[in-house]
Amino acid sequence: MINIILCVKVVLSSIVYKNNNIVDKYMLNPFDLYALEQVLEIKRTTECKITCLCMGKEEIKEALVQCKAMGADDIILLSDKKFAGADTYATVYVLAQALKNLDYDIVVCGKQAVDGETGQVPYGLAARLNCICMGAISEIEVLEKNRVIVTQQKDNIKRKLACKLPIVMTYDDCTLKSPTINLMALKRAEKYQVTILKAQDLNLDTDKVGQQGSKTEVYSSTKPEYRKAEPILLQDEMEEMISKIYDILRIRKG
Amino acid sequence: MIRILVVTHPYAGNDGNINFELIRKAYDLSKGNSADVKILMMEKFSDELIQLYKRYGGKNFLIYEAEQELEYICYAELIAQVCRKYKPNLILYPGTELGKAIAATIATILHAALIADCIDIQPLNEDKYSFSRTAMNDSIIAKIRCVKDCIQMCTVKRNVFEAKEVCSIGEENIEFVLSDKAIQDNQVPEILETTENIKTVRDCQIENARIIFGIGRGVLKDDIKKVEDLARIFHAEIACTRIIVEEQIMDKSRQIGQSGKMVSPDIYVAFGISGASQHMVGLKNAKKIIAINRDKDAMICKYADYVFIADTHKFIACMYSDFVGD
Ligand SMILES: Cc1cc2nc3c(=O)[nH]c(=O)nc-3n(C[C@H](O)[C@H](O)[C@H](O)COP(=O)(O)OP(=O)(O)OC[C@H]3O[C@@H](n4cnc5c(N)ncnc54)[C@H](O)[C@@H]3O)c2cc1C
Repeated sequence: MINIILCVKVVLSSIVYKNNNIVDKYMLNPFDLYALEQVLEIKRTTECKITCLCMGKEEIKEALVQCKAMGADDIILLSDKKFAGADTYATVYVLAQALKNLDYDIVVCGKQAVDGETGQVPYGLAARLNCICMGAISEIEVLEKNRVIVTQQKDNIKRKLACKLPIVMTYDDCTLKSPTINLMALKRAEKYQVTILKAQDLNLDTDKVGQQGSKTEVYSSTKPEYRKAEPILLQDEMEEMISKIYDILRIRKG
Repeated sequence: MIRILVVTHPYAGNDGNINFELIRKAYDLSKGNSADVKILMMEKFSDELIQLYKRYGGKNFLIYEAEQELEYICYAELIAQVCRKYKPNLILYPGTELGKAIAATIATILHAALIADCIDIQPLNEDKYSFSRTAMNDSIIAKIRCVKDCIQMCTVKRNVFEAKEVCSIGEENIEFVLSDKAIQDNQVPEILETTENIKTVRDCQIENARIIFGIGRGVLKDDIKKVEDLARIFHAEIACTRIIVEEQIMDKSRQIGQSGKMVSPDIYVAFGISGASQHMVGLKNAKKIIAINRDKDAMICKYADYVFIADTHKFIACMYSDFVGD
């Protein structure tokens, strides 16, 4: 049995869908959802166990149930007030400590989170777990107990790589489509108990977690200025607009 | 004394500008507190490159002669060794994929503070700096500082700092560094196959296009063909938003934005595009933006130079009949 651990993050739906009617407050980070869909695809042909590992508040539990309904085998939520306010450094520490207590052959992450966008976690995790991180993977071709063959696409170059396991890897894309979930599967998943682990359940140095364990702090935030000047606004007069666009495009009609 | 280390992107080729930007920024930062700046190069010695870097303010060079490009992990190991010896207060990395991978690895190995994708660096007090980055899809600019006694590091976004040349800087110092531990490649993956996607003329070339017509959800499916015809006449390339790709109307190679391509046209004409930040990040370097939208309050109007409040169907029909016929 190959153990896949998928690190997922739950984010505010309002960050992903700006103006739409939002039903649920929380949702899976679109990059992680994509990664989940990819590993579920592998599970169809390769015998493996998929465990989703997430750090966050307890109230995001509901959003995680979706992973179960889609076909993940287990869900572990690392949740403790002490973990709050963590920067990447402190986040990586907690995730890595949790991983050290688990059986894993490959750790899969989304490319980045929509609300943090640093993309540093997978590399930090790999460094803490003493393995390498392979980024920008478009496909896992072969997954065996000790070895994986992946396709990596960077700029114009596509490489097929064989890596000894364990490794950490990230996929290169996200998805905004809500997954189609079978109603029966959702019902079943709702009965499933997410495993919740607190600081005391992990072998942790509490000085290294949360805000206390962070190396950085945001000390001010401002709204960026978009523009230098007001736009030239035209309406109603179609002819005027059309001739203006030809002007700008420097083309003469007919 | 404050010590600044600049990690350059090895064998940068077309990405070379980011190295000039980093070197110039480090030079500027050193003016205030006469910090010692070292430029780390991890590639085959090239006097030509050193002379080039000098033009942007590089003076002290550390060179690790790697014969070829290495995996990120090898670079990370080497830099960790360099840091243990030179004890920098601040390290600047290029905001390339490789730079980010190396920086994130070093942050963990050396327990350093790391700020990603910086758009500004300012001194705060004698040895601390303030780093700015955009967050939440560019909707806020966060100022971040290091709160622990550790190395401060950041990756720097491309095209943010200006690569201006400096006045003559004098004789350079070059020091070769060796890796004390043979850089191990037991972890390094085995490359089974490499293919370079060589672009053919028929491939989509939106990265280099001077004029781009962007298609969003506000364009009827039947009108897309017309916009394509017009694009040919106007020597424009066609691009689109993510929604159009997810609905499988157009190919992913034409998507502009955070999860698509970055473009820098002289003119971008946005047909029925709302201007979500994830789309607009791909257009940061567009010189002129024209928005055709029926909604005056659409986000795109905040970025556009010209806003035409109109129905895209009618607008496209008018252009089409002028140039193609009805
Ligand atoms: C993680 C993540 C990554 C993303 N990456 C990208 C990316 O790379 N690129 C990207 O484009 N998006 C990306 N998105 C999606 C982005 O948030 C928006 O959803 C998307 O850009 C909106 O596309 P749109 O403007 O075509 O559609 P909409 O937002 O639906 O806008 C349609 C616009 O058309 C106007 N309109 C409608 N009908 C008409 C009409 N008849 N005449 C005139 N105007 C009309 C409306 O007023 C509206 O402004 C990403 C989102 C996330 C969460």
